[in-house]
Amino acid sequence: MDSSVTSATYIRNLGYCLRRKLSDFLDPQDRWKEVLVDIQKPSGEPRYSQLHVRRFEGLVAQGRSPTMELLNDWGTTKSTVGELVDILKSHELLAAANVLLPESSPLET
Amino acid sequence: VDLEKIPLVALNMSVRKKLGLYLNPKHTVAADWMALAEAMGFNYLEIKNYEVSKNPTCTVLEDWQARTTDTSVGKLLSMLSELDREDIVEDLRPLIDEDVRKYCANLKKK
Repeated sequence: MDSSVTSATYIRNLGYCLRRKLSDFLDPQDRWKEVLVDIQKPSGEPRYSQLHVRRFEGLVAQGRSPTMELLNDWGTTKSTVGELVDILKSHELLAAANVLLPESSPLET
Repeated sequence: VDLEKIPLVALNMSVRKKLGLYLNPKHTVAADWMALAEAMGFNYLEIKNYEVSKNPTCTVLEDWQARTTDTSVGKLLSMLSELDREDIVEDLRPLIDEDVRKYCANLKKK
């Protein structure tokens, strides 16, 4: 299933292993926050507020993965892997982008 | 067909189970079964008590159709849209339409 991910795949259809791998990259050093603040509603306003960020921070205190919870939450919209990859690339989180779409973002060496 | 006129009983078990798959998990920000229950008019204590239910989404749906007279498939769908759960509407629409079609066919037989 992982191999069939394209930029048009809905985030909600991502498999467990892929989510796990993404959190390996995005959980450390609060990189998930960079992604979270860039997520927009279709209207263009930010989807998550500072108060929402605190809620996700609270999950960390419970030992849960904020990236996993973010993907669950964001997955309830019609957002696609392409949108996520664009955000990842804009923050130079290329390793994470590479997990989703290996061919589209060659790792710079 | 006008979905506003189709009662909730038209929805069979597989659709209800699927609704549970989408709504039972608690979300950090997005709407889950609690937000739906609130939209249906359940008060805080009622919602709090549904928490012990194994499948709160199913329980809430059943209680909603039992205690309110103006429930309908259309109303449920518009609530989900208002709660920004377009994912559910999109994914389950074919299943729901199929159940509604069966329900209407059964009505004609009688």
